[in-house]
Amino acid sequence: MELETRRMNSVDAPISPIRILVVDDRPENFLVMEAVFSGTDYELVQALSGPEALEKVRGGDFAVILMDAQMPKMDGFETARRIRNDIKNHKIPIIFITAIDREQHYVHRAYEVGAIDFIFKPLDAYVLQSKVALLVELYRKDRQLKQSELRGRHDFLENALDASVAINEKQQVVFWNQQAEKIFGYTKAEALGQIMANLIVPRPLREAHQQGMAHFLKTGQGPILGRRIEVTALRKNGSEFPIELTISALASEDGWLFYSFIRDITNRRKKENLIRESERRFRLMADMAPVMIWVTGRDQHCTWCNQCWLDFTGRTLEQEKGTGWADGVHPEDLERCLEIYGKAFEERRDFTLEYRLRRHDGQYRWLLARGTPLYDENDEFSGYVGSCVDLHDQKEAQETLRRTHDELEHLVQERTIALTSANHELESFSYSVSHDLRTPLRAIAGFSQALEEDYGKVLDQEALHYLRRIRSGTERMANLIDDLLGLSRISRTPMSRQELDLSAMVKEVTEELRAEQPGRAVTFVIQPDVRAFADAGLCLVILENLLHNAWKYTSKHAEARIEFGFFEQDGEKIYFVRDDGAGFAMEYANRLFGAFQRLHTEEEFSGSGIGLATVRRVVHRHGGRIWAEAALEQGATFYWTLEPKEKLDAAAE
Amino acid sequence: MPQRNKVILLIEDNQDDVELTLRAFKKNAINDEVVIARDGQEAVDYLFGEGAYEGRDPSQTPRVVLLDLKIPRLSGLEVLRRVRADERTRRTPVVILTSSKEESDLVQGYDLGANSYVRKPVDFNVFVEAARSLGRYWLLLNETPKET
Repeated sequence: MELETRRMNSVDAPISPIRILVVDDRPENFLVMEAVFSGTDYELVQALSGPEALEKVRGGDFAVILMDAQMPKMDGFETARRIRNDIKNHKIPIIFITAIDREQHYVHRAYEVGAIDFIFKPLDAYVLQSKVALLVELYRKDRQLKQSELRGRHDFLENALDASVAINEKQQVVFWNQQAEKIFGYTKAEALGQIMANLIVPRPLREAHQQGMAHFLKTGQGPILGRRIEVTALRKNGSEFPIELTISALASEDGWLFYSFIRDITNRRKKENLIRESERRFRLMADMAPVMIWVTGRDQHCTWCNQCWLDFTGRTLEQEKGTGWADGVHPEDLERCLEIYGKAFEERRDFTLEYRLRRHDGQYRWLLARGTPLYDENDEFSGYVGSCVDLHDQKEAQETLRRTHDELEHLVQERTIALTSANHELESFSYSVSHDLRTPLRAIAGFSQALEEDYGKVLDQEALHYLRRIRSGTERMANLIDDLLGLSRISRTPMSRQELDLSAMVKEVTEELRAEQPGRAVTFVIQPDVRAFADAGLCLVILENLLHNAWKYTSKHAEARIEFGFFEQDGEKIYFVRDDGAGFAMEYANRLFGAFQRLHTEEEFSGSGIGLATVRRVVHRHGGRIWAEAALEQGATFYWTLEPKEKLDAAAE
Repeated sequence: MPQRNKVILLIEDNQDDVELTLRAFKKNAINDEVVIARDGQEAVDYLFGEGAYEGRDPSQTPRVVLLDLKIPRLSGLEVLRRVRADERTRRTPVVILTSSKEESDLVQGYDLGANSYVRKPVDFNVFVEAARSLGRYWLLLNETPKET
């Protein structure tokens, strides 16, 4: 059923009527003919002259030609001859109609030019009808045969992968397969019988199309026939698209039929454009790139390198192609270079390699080359693409860096030695201070005392006072020496951090203080379980100094309160020692922590001025900060931090 | 029985310190004979009967040796090392007498077998007190073990 439908569609859908051409110079004779054939479904076509007849025959198919033999200028015989000569595949039966005579001469002449019969005037309508009916019958049979042939061909083409379109000489579409429906958007019903050019040839191309057709029909020559050509076609929706087509001309009973196979090459074009574009872009980018880029073929030979390469070597592409590029490789590097490249090539592996290549100025410069195998769209290996960067400066910089580094290392070593020796000197200096400065002091103190003890009775009060001043001076000097030594020891002692209970340490110090001066009314407020991760000995130095200070500077008050504790601020533990003693004016706070800086006179409070400098040094060695807040006679608070264990642990990792 | 005829060997190069030490002894009624060595070599000569002390019997060991570490020629620590190394003197009590507060001295001194350590304070009273306890302990209570 479906097959039947398709067949109906594919066969020349407009079933053309049976047409009969009447060639006669007298119009009244045409009327006679119309009368004769009024009982039939024939379509009578009038031609009033030979040339007109020729034109009509060229333009259409006729079952029979009824030809008046006597016409002015071109008579019937001449007309018939022309038809036979001019029109290819001409098989239209011609019946001559003549009133002249029935001479043999005429008859022969008529047959020579293709007449198949004669009818003499006056016309016998019945005879004419019968003869024409017979010829029409033959024509019908013939046409049916041709149509069945065509049908076979069209069935065959219907399912072709390409679009297939056929037109006749009048450019009417006589075949339109499924693929044609698909690519052009017209259904068979819409396309068949239409002038093809109006459907699918873009307007600007139509004239050329017409000319080509006319040329072929006139000369039998068509340069585009039998070749693949690419043109632009039009879709039903008005859009244009590229096609590839081949056209064949097939002679048929109805004249020429032009069959075309058409392929939509939009995608192919796109792909070609993309490839072209990508190729163009690659070249452009490669040429713009500040690195040297090269491409080799399957045979390891260089096929292309970019402008950067050519600028570097100062050679032409032609010189570098093939194995030319190897000319510039440093002779010491060439063998290694070819070996690595060749091996990677065999194994289709990426490679990197450093070698020296001669620059345009003759200098061999170190390059870092990288290459990677190339595969085409069919995954076929097609060679290598790679790049080279000029490493020369970098390599030299590295060398310089290495040398600088060595020098620096050397310098550090020297400094370390110097530092070690300085430390050593400092140690022996401290030792000397400890021993040698104290010895004369001891003598001064000792003999002053001996003098006082042994000759005190003969000395007056003033002399005794001087002796006591000498002794107290020596004592202060001794304390100063001890504190100075302590300060220098802080920096030299190796640290070993551990978990400390500061509260317990504070408690011990305060107990010592109480034991030394039991008469004082001092309240200690010690926050319990205050912990730190620090060096025990050094931490004790902090606590001793600050607590001694607090004890000392509250000594002029009848009652005093000294606090120790900590609080957290911004995730940091801040320890403090607070007293309500003499305090100091904040404007001097910046002088507190310097060695030998004192904010009180010796008469007010004795001291060496080294204690807080020592404390600050301990705090700094623990990565912490120390500061103070105070007001005159309002007491003082010393705050400090220590680098927390977590940070130390993180640093150790 | 303690040997009463024994001496105190004071190894000290500083005349001031020698005088002050003797004064401190006197004030504490320590009346033993005090032999003074001015440097390490002299001390060693005395102890082993050599050099200027040729002929002295080394078995007659001092009741106590007061040793300043910072002395000329042989250092105090070297003297100590030799005293402890010799069978004749190794039981002799040695008290280090020094103005140094340096821990390394103390540690080395104890390592080499010093029996005690007295820091010479600037305050003479404190020194007198130290001399007193020194005398009480080393001269009266801590008797030298008998030779066996």
